[in-house]
Amino acid sequence: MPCANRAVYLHAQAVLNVAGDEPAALRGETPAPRPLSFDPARLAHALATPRLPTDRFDRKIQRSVEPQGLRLLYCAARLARALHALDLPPERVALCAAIPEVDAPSPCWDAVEAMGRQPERPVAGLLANTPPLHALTLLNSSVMAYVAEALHCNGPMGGYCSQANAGLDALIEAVLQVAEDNADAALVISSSPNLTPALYLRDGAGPRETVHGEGAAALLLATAPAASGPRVRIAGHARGYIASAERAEAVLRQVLDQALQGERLALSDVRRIVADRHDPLLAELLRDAPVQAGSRCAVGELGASGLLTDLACVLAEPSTEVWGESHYALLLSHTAAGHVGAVLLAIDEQEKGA
Amino acid sequence: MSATRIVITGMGAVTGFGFEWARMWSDMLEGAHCIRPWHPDESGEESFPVRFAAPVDLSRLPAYLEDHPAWRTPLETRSRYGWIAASQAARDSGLDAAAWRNAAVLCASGAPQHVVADMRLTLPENPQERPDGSHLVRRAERVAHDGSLRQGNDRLARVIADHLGCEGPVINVSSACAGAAQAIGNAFHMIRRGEVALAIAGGADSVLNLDTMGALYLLGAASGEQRWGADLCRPFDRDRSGLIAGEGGGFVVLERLEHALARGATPYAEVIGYGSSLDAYKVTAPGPQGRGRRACASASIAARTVTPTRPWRPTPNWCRTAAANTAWTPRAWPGGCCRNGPRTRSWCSRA
Repeated sequence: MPCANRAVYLHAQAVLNVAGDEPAALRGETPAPRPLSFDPARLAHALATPRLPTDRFDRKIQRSVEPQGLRLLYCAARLARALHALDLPPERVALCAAIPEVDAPSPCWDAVEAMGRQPERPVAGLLANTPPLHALTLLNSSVMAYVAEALHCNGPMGGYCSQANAGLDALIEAVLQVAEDNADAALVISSSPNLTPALYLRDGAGPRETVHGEGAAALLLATAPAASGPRVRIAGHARGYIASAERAEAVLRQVLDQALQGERLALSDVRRIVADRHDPLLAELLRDAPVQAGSRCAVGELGASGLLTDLACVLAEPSTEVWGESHYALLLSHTAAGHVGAVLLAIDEQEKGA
Repeated sequence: MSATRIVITGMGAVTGFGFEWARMWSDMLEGAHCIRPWHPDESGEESFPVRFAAPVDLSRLPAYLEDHPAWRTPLETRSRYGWIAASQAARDSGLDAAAWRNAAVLCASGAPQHVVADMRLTLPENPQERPDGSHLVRRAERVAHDGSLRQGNDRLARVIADHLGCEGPVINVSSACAGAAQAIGNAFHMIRRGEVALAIAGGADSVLNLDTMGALYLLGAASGEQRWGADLCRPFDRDRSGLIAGEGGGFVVLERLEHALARGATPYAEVIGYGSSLDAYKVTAPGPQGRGRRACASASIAARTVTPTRPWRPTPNWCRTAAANTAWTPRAWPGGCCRNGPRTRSWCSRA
């Protein structure tokens, strides 16, 4: 779809993954995946749980929120200064989140142990060994409240949890809230799932050889570009779903056309395309186009934060020499579950500082 | 203000009242409730502090739904109820199969169903060791196929899309109790913007299991009151004691008014606005000044598609149970403004 109404710009971005917390690090050497502790036959990019800034978040949050939530909060906190500088009323700041479910067998291991010791008394074991706020730990959208409180974003909200495409859903909702004047800025926050057995056991988990990673990404959108750096406008977006395999190519082409139509572009007009080159569907569509690999090759499949990480990665790359001062970048995604998505960016180096 | 008018033309609900929304509606108009004694299956003979809930009563399953694929597919309980509710809404709308290709599916799917037996698979043979995922992986073939370890949170949205053949956006909403209202609001916006012509939106949940109800009880949300028997739901009483959990699914079909009228459908209602906000006052309580509610209602009024000619009111769906003294998180306040459609049969205003 074209982005009607007000133009929406990428104002700031933050990432966290095994390559580090700077987008530029994704273009350098990244660590090799390592065997998982619970299944050494599989490789993945596990990440140490980050420490939250104590001037932004209560210490209780560090203790009570599980790792995927902490990664997300860490990235959100890194955008606090840029958001504060916009000097907006909290009611004019939207918050859209892409958050996987909390999918450990139970985050409350003491209760699991107690139920194992006395299987005939599961209720006593559960109630005596579960902390009172356990329910908030299980509730993945709790982190939205923490971000809203810490960064003062009390405007429109949207929480999404559709695995890998949730990042696109959150981004589109945020773009439209700003474009349609329901907000003057929007935070888009996302996290990958935790590396747990469920990630591999789940229906629609994707091919066995998939290398997953842990990470998070956050974007700040606004009606004006950042004072420094390239001027990046969200110029188009589209999404669809492949309900039957024989319609896959038609759905992908429709999504592509929708993403490009607002700027009256053909695929050949787009100079930068970021997509998974190993995806057969995307590879077929893009066989004559120059395609850049996304973050997946470097830091693993990041699920709900994959697209936002790719987006940050595109912007981190010095582009003027290669792509020219003004160009379009298209990010295409196709998830194992059948979601197809596209985001079109208009990148303009000429008006830096405007 | 957009000229595009969006109406609801199909509804489906699976609740403790049964598997058809009309039955739920007529029972509620008579002041009935479906709360009854309840006990988590996993607790065996052991006493559980929450004694009442509003479970779905499978004995009320109509014969024509006995062959629904939801009963034959490995799914969590919430997904079964949601899929049946969505099928009922699709059928109620009268749309033919071809119409669904360009439709969106928006679904709020509630809490994952953690299975106690799956948790036990993490326990080591040696009691000196700690529970660990490696034990679970070793016993992977024993992991339940209808529990959260096998079923992604977006499973319901995908089975609905696969069943109806939807190729529009398939979105799983995750904003706790406000989720279904967000799903309907997002669907309303998507049709109004022209992203899709048709959407099926709603939600499903089932927290009636040991893990989730235990967590809700410990949080202080679920009522353990017993003196009122099954009549303990009294949200505005000084003796109110907390939420009484239910389970089920509810979906609506949304489309453009002119599309509905052109095919001879009778709209139930028109959706004229949607707004949301996050007040983030406390993680378990909304702001006492009602700032979030005000912002949400104002946004839904500002976003309205028509100027009402009759009295109307916003129909909020606060992320806080009416009976509870503590709230679910996050502090989300989506709500929709609705008014009766041009040819109204009836209107269920709760999202």
